[in-house]
Amino acid sequence: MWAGTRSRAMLALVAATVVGLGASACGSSSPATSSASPAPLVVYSAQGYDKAVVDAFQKATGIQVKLVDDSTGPLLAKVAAEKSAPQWSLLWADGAEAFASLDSQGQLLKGYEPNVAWTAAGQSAVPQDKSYVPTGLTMAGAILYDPAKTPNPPTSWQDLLSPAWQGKVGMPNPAISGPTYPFVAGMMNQLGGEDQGKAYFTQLKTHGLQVFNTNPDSLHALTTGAIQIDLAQSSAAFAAIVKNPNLKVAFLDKVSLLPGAIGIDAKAPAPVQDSAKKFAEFVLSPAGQQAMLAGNPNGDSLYWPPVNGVSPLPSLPQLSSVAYQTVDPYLWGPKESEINSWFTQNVVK
Amino acid sequence: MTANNGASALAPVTDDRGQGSSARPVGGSRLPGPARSRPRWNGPATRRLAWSAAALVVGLVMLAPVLGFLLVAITPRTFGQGDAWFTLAPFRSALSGATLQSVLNTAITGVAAAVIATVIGTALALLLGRTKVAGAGLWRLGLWALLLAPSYLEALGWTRLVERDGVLAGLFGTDFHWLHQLVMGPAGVIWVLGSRGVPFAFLAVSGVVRGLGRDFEDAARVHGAGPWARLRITVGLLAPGLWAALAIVFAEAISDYGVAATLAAGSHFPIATFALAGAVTNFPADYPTAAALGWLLMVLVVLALLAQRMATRGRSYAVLSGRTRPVRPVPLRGWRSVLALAGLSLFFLLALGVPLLGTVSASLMGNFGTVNAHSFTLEAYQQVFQRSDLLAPVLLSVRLALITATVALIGGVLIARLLARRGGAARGKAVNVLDLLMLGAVALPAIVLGAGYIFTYNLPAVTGLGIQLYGTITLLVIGLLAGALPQASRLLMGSFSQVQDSLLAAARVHGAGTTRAWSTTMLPLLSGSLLWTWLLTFADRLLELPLASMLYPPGQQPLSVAVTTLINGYDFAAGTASLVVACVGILAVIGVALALFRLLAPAGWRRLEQR
Amino acid sequence: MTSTNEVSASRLEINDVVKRYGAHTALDGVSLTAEAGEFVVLLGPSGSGKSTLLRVVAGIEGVDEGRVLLGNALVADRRSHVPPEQRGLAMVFQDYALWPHLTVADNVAYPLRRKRVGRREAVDRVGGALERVGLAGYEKRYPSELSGGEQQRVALARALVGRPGLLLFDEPLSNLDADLRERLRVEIATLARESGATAVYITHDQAEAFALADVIGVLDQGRLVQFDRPETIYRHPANPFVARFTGLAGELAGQVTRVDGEFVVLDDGEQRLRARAVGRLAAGDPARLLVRPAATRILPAGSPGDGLLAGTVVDVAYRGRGYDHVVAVRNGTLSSVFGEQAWSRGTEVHVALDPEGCIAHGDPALIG
Repeated sequence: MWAGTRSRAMLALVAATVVGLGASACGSSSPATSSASPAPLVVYSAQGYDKAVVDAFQKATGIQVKLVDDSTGPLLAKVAAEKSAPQWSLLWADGAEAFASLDSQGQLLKGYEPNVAWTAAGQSAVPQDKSYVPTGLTMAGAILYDPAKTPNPPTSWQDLLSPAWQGKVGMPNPAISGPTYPFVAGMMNQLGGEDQGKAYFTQLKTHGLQVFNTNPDSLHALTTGAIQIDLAQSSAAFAAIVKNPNLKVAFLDKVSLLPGAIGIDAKAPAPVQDSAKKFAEFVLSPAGQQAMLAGNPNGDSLYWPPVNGVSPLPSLPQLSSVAYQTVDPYLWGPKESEINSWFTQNVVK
Repeated sequence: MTANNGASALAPVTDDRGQGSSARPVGGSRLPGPARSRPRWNGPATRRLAWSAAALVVGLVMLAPVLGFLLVAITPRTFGQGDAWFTLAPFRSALSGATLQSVLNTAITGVAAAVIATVIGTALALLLGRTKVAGAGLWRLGLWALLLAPSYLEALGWTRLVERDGVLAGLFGTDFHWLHQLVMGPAGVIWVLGSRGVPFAFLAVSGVVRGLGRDFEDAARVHGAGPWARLRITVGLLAPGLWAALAIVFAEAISDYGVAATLAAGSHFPIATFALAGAVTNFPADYPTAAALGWLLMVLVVLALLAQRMATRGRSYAVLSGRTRPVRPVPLRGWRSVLALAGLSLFFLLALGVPLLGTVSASLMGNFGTVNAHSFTLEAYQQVFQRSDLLAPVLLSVRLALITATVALIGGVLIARLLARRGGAARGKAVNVLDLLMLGAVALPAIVLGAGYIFTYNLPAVTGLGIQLYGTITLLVIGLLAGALPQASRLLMGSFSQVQDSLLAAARVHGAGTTRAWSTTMLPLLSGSLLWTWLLTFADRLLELPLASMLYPPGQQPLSVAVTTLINGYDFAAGTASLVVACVGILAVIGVALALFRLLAPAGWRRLEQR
Repeated sequence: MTSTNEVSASRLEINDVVKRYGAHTALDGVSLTAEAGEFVVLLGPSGSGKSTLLRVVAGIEGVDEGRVLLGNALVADRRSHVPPEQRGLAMVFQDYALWPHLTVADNVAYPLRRKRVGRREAVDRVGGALERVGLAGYEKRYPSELSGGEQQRVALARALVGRPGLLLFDEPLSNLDADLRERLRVEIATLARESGATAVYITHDQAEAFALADVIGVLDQGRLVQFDRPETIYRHPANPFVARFTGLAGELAGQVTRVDGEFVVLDDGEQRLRARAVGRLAAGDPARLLVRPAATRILPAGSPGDGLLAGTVVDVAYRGRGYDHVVAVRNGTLSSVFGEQAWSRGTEVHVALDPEGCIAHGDPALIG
């Protein structure tokens, strides 16, 4: 209608956008240019204690760290989307499978192992090509139950297929809940292969296995009494006990080692990789481990240290009392998508 | 507004591609003289330049990421996602097996949700627009609240209600297994998506209802039509609004992820957005297949739009004129009133009461949400206020939401004005394309929109040009804006098409320049809509999660991501509590803003308030 | 009305203005001049471009070619464009265009506020303007509380209050009821002339045009086909379109038998009829006879005299001062045939035609 209103209006939009963006850009980062100090790091992490550790690391070394903290799923989606030009210098998450996948795509720096005194379990989590570094150990497939309601918890994996546990077992969906896939893969591994594993989960389903979307959902179901046995990552199970001391954790023979790990971007400039190595070394140092243990005492801090000389939080049992296996992440990592979608179609509901 | 509403529909078809110039009166002249009114140059070339600049910015904001994401399906290697420079294999994998099933489920869900939303939305529009139903203000407020509540909260509410040993079981001592089966399945998914679409349908239809006037109904009446026949006539006249409602709800429903990841995922009823997100978040991420799924979602939206076009093409619904008699709301008495109130209460109970239950139960219960009077605790809320690490995220999110809402409002005004006006054939086409793009952006779930931004702005070719946007707050704002613009402009469009062009023309002719003409006529006329649109965008963007989590710059966590971190750190109660606090905070902001508007706006503005 | 003399009316000159919307040409080389203080009515059917022309004058639309001069100042050509607010004009809209959020007084005061007229004076002038349109005491009301006629009076007051040099009217009466229309038309005629401003008024109603105009411009498909005094338009329509659009009782086909100065004699196969010629006509040419209503008179059958058409009364309508008849003649129908007494349906009558009100036209396209 108006002569010229629209073109001017459009200019106004342009101007407004530019002004808006300009205003917003005030807080955005500018690349650090100083060459003398160590290169700053961008840490992508899904760990609950990452903030505490990053703070401690910055204080100890003076190296600048920018932290991106998110759930495992979106974080890995972001890493995958950035493949053509990774923005992270260091990735820190649970589950060796994802690191194995990244490594097979050549995204991780190989051949780096910090000089530390590994425990036996810690050593077993170090990959052959040394493309990632274990930083903490948890178990996939811990059993969480309420002894008041369930005085006699199951004693073996086959036990869960008995009528006594009909409809009383629950677990999160590996397609939604990040740390659940290692449990599924671990079961398949110890039962002799993918087919045997699928048969087991199919049987569990016919015995009324309930699959929830996420870990909090299955914990919720356990407390309402909708299920009596929750199959969870050990750190989540111990975290539940912190909130509700009536609950108990048990480990069947066997559970699978689920390490948290650090991988370094293969394409990062050498100074950044050096800073990243310093970060990994710090994490495995007593100070770093203390920061990890203190950073999220109601959650991810409930892990077993992979190095000698550091004790886990008191609520955790001796690692030697747990019968666990290690799973080859290079075998099971690439199968994750396929197995998860099989699980969603055949076991969920 | 009054009887002289919307006569522009009957006004001669005109166009505004005329020249313009900035409106500054020179020397207080009353009469134009050669020396006093300086003719401005503003030829076609300048106009074209302004248009290209505008198109470039809009394209940057909205198109690049959508295109970037979609291109991954065809040429994965360009974005480092595979070996092939050109391939169609992702489409094969998207159109097979479970993924194909999920697309079909999505189509069915979308259609069903759109129909439900349109039926209920139309009923509400007729009830609130043509009758004096009790508590009209309350019901309208409920609709806005519904627009605010995230879909996963409604899904969570339903889950808490019907789960084994859930709230219903706790209240009645028995498991409602059939209800559980019903809700945790296609029916539940469709209901949640449909009920969330009701506000959109309501807005689309009530614009038409308002302008419809009484004559058509009276005409039907004098020709012997009973109540039902009259309703049929009215509904027939509402066709453009109904089709608009169907299209927008369909697009919103098929792109929803909150329900897809909760109710639908747990009920063996996979929908496309879930399959899409699954392809991206399960390692190794399969972006090409996700992108192919994105294409399919876009195709579904295009089909919906084509259906809308075909259904309304060639028919004129220009029912508005300067002489339209305003509808006199009919008082409802006796059983009609009871029926109407019962229906309204039932709808809002199912659509709003349930999510309220979900959030509150999740946040009040220390131990993972057992329903038990003893387990209620406010501890989580104390934590929220004691946590200093939430302060920075809150401030950042408020800042982001303020900027986004303001820019989206300005952009939405311009787009809405463009879309609301009728014009020549050439403009018609441009408007169609704009309309399509906006719905297209709605059709893609936010997480893939975020991935699209990463693909596009993290391409070495792009960063090589010096466009260093990825990893900055700027890109996050652009992303949030792209998500907010379609909604904002849709909300404003109805209001704009209600305002006659001549009101603005009258201001110009009687001595007001462009800016003053807008500020003295359009601004007051639309003040209510503008305020609401800003508030809704602000609220919606404050808690936006998927885009924020993909795009936030290292070290600067927005609130939604910080809350997710809390929940992931097994602090479920504190996480949910902070959500509740945020929602209450938003409602408080809305309340204060509305109260200020009531108090401070001139009397004439308040007369116009429709909502 | 002492204040009205302050107004200096603007002369309006439109030169070869072209306005296109894509492929459609809305104005195709329109030129006209409205002298200061003149009341110009632009008459045309919908789609003729009259609204576009008014909007071009107002500055709401730009021009693609040609020039618009206001008070001898160039306000629009293809490169420049003075925005409406700097043209010193006022306008009354078809849909009133009153701002619903402002009171009547605020609506009327709007132009004054834009001109930064002092508060005291503004109140006086608003009161005066409202009084002139008969709405004294309506200051505090809102537009939605007024009837259509009252709203249009407010719009009229708003247009007058700023003492513009040019007043524009965009079919201001078309949304009003018949009796109201008549009354408001008189008020517009009076007030506009009182104000001394030049006025441009568009309408599709020829009665309105003849009643109001000093000069009438007839538009057809974007072209100004005639621009003249009402009397001239009535007697010498430039073409059949103008004749038809300014009112006809009917049309009859015939052949020119004789040319007599500006008159011709037509043979319709039965009678010889005298008519004013439009365009060049020669004996033997086929022609069309266009009859103005006022040129007809009904007579009893068998009345003596030349140029009488025999016919049958088809319909009769009481018009207060007499009766309008529809009469079927040999090769056509004439309506609005006036008679002081009623001739009942079916009656054989004669119709007398006054040559002054008959127009002969030879346009072949028309005859076919």
